[in-house]
Amino acid sequence: MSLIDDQDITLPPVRRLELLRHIAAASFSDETRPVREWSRVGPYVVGRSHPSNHGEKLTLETMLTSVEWHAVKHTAQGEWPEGTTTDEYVADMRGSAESPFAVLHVGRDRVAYGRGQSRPASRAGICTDIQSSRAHVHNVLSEPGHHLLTLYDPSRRRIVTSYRIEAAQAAKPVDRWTNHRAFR
Amino acid sequence: MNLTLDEFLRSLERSVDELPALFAEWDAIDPELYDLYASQLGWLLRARHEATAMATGQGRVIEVAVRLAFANAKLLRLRDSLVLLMGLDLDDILQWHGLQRQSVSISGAVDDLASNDNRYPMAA
Repeated sequence: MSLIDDQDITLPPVRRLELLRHIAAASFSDETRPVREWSRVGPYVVGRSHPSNHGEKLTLETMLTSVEWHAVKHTAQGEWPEGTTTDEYVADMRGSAESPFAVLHVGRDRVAYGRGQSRPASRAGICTDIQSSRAHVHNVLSEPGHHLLTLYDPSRRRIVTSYRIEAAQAAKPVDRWTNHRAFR
Repeated sequence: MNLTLDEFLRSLERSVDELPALFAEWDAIDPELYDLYASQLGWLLRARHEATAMATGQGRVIEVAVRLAFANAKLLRLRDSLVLLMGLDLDDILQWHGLQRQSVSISGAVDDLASNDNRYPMAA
């Protein structure tokens, strides 16, 4: 994403839409881990339905992909309704890019490594007002002002996360980026 | 949240108890999990308000207040690692029941509370 380094860039609407769709079409990390590891610090989800196989209940040993974990976690946290499937969670992320209210964010974040060290890394994101985007975002629970925020790692071409966030908090994750730019 | 009060408390207490081991082996952990764990702990801390409201509705105010205070105290003991490794700040830890950074006497009392782990066995 070379556009990140250009302070004066303007983005043609067609290019903006291309980038939004590129992000929304990306996958989460391929990592598969047991629930025990995903939830080592986090919500306790044992006994909940497997997001890709509702006949199966989660145990600490159940292996989940990254996107499955995110679907389970954000459902447990009350952002999506009980029983939300992986496909429904991903559909909201993909749909958010199609909303006319979608805002494309680009910039550089700092990625942690080791003990308190960090390195710069490009980031992109899509932030969408959920209530205004119901034609495209169907499943996530929301009240007025809630946004759906998807963060993307361009170097790995992977989604980092996608979650519901309150309007007052929506700018926080991207405001800390350097060279941050938003395209509406 | 879609967790019951007991599921939430289990989530928070289990996570807080896991932190010392997690920090001890931090260098061996996949860095991709750093932000994940930090954001998940951040959610648990923010959700303490909702848990407190649930406790009121279920007549469990005192039990839940004590259990949250215990968790809070353990977090305060780990504050240096929470700040350095997880990027949390003291306000993230203390913002519960109106606790603020300047409430030194309150955080001191919470520290004192946790210094005697056998005083409130229901938090075990």
